Amino acid sequence: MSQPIHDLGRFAEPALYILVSLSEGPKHGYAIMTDVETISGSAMGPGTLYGALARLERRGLIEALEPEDRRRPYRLTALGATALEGQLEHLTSFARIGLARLQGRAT
Amino acid sequence: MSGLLRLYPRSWRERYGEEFAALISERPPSLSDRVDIVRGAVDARLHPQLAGPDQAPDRSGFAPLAGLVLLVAAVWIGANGPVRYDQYGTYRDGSAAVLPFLAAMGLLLFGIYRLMKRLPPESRGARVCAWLAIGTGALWSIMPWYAVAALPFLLGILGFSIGAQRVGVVSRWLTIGIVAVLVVPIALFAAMAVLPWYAFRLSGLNFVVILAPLGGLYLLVGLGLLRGVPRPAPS
Repeated sequence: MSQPIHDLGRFAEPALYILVSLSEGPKHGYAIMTDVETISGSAMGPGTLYGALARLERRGLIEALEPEDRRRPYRLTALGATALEGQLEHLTSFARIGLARLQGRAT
Repeated sequence: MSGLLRLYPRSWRERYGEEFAALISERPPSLSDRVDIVRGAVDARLHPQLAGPDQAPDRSGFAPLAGLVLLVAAVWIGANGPVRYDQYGTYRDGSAAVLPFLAAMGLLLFGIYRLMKRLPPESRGARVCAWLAIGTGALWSIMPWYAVAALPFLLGILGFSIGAQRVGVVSRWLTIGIVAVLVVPIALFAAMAVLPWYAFRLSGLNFVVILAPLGGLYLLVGLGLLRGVPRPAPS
């Protein structure tokens, strides 16, 4: 199964955090940054944020809305929601296998 | 900070500059943020397509246009072939048109392949339709008299163009054009599947009536590649 954000190189992880952040509802850049910091526990730089946003937008996974003042909110598209769901299921399965193996090793 | 923003290419600043500056004003950048911005600027310069046109013009668009010339030649040859006789009466023998038609189809299929390469990995439906069109198109090009083979080819192109438009790989106008151009041949091929073949082959009319609208498809695929696709404006 092809993973729509797996091949984003160093932007794959930030892209996943952004998708998770936008799954809650539309957000602008600063709100995404603070939310990602809460989710991941580490800060995301502005250059990384916009590098990931541009890639996600280009792939049709997110879309830009009308600017509010100077800030432009982004929202998850249907394609983005499907991609995020697939990615999270993949990670869940990966985590389940890893934890099962660790438990097997401990016994 | 405006100095750091100037490191980004102009197309990027036009698209993201305003909101980026707003973000920076809300959260004054730390030293690591500044380093990150410089890295982002290098990345934006290495990947200008991210903020510029969605797809740069592709010179391979000349291939379908050359195919159009060959298609016209094939139609002319088919419509002016020698008169033959069989149990149904007289007809035009268009077999000499097969070779230029084969070449024309090859160039069109190459154009469709190039358009398909623009699809993002998640556009599986559009990719399947494109491969359906390429596979059955190749089959049809070696036996153009087998009209039913053209149906999946045309339907594949239809599905591909609609799917590609949904992810912004081809423009809306290109898709509308392709749909408009394909309606006539699809209806005719569908009719040929149920009506007697000999009813369509009088005086080479079958080639002219069915293949002529396909010329529009060559034109649209060629121009679609040559023009590139503008990035859709934010809604």
